[in-house]
Amino acid sequence: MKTAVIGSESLGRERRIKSVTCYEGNLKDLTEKGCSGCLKGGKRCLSTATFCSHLTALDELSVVKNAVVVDHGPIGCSSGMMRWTLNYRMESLVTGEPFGDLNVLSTNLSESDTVFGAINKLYDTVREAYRRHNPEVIYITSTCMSSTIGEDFESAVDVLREEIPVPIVFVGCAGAKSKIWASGFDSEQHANFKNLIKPPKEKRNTVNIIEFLHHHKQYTIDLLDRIGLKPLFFNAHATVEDFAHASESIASTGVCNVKASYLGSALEKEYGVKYLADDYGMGIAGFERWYLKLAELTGSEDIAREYIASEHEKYDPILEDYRQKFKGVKAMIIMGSGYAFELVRVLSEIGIDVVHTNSFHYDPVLDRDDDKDYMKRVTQDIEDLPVSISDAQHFETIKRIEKYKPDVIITRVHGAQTIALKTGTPVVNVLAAFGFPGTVDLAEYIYEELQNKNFVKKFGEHCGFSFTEKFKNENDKSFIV
Amino acid sequence: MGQFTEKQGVGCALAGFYTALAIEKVLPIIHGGPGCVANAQQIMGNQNGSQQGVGFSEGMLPSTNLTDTDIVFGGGKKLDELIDNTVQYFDADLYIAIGGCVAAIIGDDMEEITGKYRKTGKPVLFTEAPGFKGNNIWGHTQILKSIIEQYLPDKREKVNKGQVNVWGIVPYYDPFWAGTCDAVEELLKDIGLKPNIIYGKGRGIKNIDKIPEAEFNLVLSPWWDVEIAELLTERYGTPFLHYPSLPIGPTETKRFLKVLEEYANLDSEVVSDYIRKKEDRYYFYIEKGIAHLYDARKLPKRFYTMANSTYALGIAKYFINDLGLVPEKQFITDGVPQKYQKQIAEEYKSFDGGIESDVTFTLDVGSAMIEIGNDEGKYHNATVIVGSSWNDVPAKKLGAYNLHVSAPIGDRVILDRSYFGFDGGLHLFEDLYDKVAGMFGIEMA
Repeated sequence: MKTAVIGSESLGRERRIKSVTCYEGNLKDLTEKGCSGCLKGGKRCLSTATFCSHLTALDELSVVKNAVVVDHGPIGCSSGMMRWTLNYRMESLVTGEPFGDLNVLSTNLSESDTVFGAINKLYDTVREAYRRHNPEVIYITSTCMSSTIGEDFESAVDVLREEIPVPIVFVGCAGAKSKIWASGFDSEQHANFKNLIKPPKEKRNTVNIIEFLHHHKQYTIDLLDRIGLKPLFFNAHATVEDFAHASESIASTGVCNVKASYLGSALEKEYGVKYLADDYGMGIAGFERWYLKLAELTGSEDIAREYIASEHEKYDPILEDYRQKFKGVKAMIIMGSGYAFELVRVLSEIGIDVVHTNSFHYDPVLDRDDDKDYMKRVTQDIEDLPVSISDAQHFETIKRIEKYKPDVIITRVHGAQTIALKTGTPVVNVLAAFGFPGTVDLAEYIYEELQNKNFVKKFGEHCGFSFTEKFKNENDKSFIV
Repeated sequence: MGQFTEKQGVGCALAGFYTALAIEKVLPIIHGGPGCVANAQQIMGNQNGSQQGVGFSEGMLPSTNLTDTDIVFGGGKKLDELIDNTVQYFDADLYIAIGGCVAAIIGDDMEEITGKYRKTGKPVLFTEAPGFKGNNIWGHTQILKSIIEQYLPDKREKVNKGQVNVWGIVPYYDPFWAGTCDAVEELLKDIGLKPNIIYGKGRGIKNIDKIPEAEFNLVLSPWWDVEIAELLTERYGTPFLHYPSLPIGPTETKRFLKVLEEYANLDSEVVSDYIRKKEDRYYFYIEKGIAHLYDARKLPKRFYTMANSTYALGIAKYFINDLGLVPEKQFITDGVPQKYQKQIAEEYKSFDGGIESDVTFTLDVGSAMIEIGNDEGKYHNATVIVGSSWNDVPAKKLGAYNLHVSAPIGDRVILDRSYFGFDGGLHLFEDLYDKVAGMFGIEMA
């Protein structure tokens, strides 16, 4: 078990499960080398700014219901909370939660604190956080600076627990701990597992849904209800009590295994909560497998099959229509690893050929010991697919777009969108592609985008990059040394 | 600095890299953690009027992405290699290596590393901007100081009569920076001066090169860039005019022009003509545009503010002196240094018609939100809250009109909009009363 929920914080992914951020080749080679443990993380001669595992952790902690995060660091480490706050507010509207902000306080470390430490500032800030927000849980997060100067978080937490009557949870999530921003999920899940998750008192027919902001909340509730299950959503809007009950669930699943692997695996290992790691309901075949596996938990496969058949009846003609419309359309994917490979299949289900997929990182294994071959199901029909792994190193992205000349780029975050637009290529942001309706939603969005390319074409003609002749003569593999 | 904060209205010093991005073909090279750019981006770029760098952008900024191993073994070699490859692949006029917290704590010698490149004729500068030393305005100042001290000559060779360098605009942090640069440039040209601005389209290194030749420097902010103007006086003997407010709307723009006329000895007929023409134009549009607003409607009269100093004061003057609004609690959230606070507070005591207001300086937007939220139910008529997207919760609580002008701004797409000058007043009038008209027939009418 790689998820060792021991120690005060989780290890970064590159050390724990040998995840890599640098590769160029094909899917067969990637998975073979990965699984046999000989996929070495390559190096680039050039690197551009990526993203922060600390920020990933802050986002995922601050969405816990009535939580406050106290970020022990300089002001900048939590100055970007507006982005996730807006997403949170938007999804709160969809899910019927009250309108509000994500509450993050910064201890605002200054220069003298690098010399003398600033544990008193941490005390003051936590006390103020409690007074101001009356939270149900207070998270204390470490940053590059507070961890480098060696702040004694453990003692601080002990002191604060004496005076504040809600859980005080330390989260070791300094940005410098890992190059891979997904490591931030592990940091927060490690802390939540150690502090909020309790041993089961009884078994319940709930399923832990470990995902982001529950865009499909009502749909998920309906799907589970059909087969005699109830969802328990994490982390957004989850209460401290919800965490305490997570171990009583019959299973865990999530919107992507990059996000759900650490907590899902830990719950399985410690409390026997089955983690459905293989599928998470993307596209048609993915949804069928996922839903049937959930139905197996309650022996409701017949109900699930019947539902799937009715969905086919409803959506097959629509999907066939898109397959006709998309004949000859070539796509390139630029996504996190939970989506980059699954989406190849989803796009094939709506008749789009993928010419290249780029993943922001790659986990050769998941956190469970028996997840070595977790990629097999994904790769079986598309072994020769050109694949690259890069943590948003978009100078390479530009080269790949030049090489593969896709008609459309399917992406979502981490800068690929506007970089791709500057090459004059249409861009579609995919959010989930969950189940039949989500797949149709994606198809329609791509179809709409391809109806009129005037903006992106003219934008690409007028806006570009400022590279040297030397750069222009390089190819997509030139930067890997 | 020092006190804890909640829901910041500023980024950290490293976010000052946006000032480099705002200068055409100047490329920041980040010597920091993998996520420092992303953190800054979410208050200065994407979530501040939907902005990004043009040409060079946040999605592709060279960065050493320091991790634990570098903290142990040092990051100098990594920076050296990165600069070496960056200058080979990225075509820039000027490169600035910018160091963050981690680089500063491990003590990498950026001066030595970048100095090596400068010796070979490559324009690679360095700026130490660790987040624990200051906010993004401090970082912006450090970037400008690096350009002046490391790139520009020690002495001025000649004075270009009529040339005025414009300061007091913090690009990207002020989401209206680009439009304001254009608007200020146009106004100064119209009254017979030769404006020199370094940010925005078509300016770049050639305008940086002209900085020492200015006849004077002009600072259009309560405190941003005063230090830069002082440095230029010290270095080149260039005098400066500090106009301690961004002129928005007719009253303040007229005052500004009168001060400028006297200071720069301008042709008073030219200035008066300009004022007459622009003021007439301003009131033409106002008269044309108020029919629906005054058609059996209640308009908001009181306004709260929690915004950066330049916009808090500039808008307060326009709202009070030109639009006849009444100030409620006013918060200034950009970390104004103590030495400038008194002068700003005095400005809040001298509005037209004897109107005065208190003003609170705080970095802690969270506490300002609570203070404003405490006024729930206090007034019968709807109020206005001027500030950032952090306004939204108190605005909902109070049922107030909610105007976003200060970082972070997550619900506006800002292209060439500017509130500067006579025309800027019109734009702000539109933005405020669009909010009001948008509610007619919905809730607050």
